[in-house]
Amino acid sequence: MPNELPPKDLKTLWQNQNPEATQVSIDEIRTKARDFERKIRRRNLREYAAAAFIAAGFAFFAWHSPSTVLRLGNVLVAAGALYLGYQFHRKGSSQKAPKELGATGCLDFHLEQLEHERNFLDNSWKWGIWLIPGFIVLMGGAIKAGYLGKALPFLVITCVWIAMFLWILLRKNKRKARALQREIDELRA
Amino acid sequence: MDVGQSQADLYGETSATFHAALDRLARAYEADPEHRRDLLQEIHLALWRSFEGFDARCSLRTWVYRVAHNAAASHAGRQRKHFLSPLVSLEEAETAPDPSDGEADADRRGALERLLELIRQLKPLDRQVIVSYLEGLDAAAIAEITALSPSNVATKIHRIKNVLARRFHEGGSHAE
Repeated sequence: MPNELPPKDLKTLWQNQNPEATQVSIDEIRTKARDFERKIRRRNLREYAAAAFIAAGFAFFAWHSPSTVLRLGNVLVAAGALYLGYQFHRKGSSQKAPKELGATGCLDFHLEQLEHERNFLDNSWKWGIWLIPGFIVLMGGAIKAGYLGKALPFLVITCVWIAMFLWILLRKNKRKARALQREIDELRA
Repeated sequence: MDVGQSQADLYGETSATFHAALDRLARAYEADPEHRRDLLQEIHLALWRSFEGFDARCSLRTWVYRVAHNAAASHAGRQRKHFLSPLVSLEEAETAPDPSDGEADADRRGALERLLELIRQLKPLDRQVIVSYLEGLDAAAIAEITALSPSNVATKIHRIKNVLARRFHEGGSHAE
């Protein structure tokens, strides 16, 4: 019979697979570990630089703003960008320490991963909210100063569209977070 | 004790003893050969880095399998986000029809491919249990690696045997 293969043989079949990769020597793994650390340092540096660049840009605009309201708006956006940068960095560095991979059983590790993802999805709305006050103040300042003129209705429509898009995205994230919570509950049962 | 030396010793021992097992484990998580090579490197790197903190509270084998499975599950989770492939539990695999029923691909390579296909569609914990079972680990060792209760592991192994019997031994006796 074509499908017939006793499960005892399946273990043998599994264990007798020919290794594809060659062994990694200690020197090779040392080099790879150094490369990995370098990559992490570069990534961190890029994140800091991006946040600093955005914050510096808005700080520059704040310095040269003609009114207090616009100045305040730019400062708030700069602060929000720095906070967002910090949050991204925290998320990136929240990976487990290498030794934790061996000290944690697979179930606990899996649960922690699911909880981390759920929290990220559940709290995603908090991220953008740090930029909103700054933009509102900036917009208020621009309207007050008469900078927008005839462009105001288009700007309002664009804002409504963006708000709707964010609302749909948040609903989707919440749904995903609930599905993850169900998976967590099943695993904990 | 020289920590650096110890880390190198542990890695050397692991590489010599578990090289083939880690290679098989990577196949259980990744079908694409190029991504599989990346995953295997990721596992080796995770092991190397983890040995800095190895305190011998569990056996080296348990440690190695935990690190490898946890690193591979993270990798699989990232890949899953990209490809959105749905995973199934052992319970679902028990009742799902065998996609290759009736096909005349009884050669051992065909069987291995089907076995790998079955494993890769399982949820992480079920995948970890079936791989450990196929590696010949007993229920106690699997419980230690996965942190599942021994009774839960026993139930899962029973299901694994049912799934394997259904898919590879149609009409014959059950797995031992």
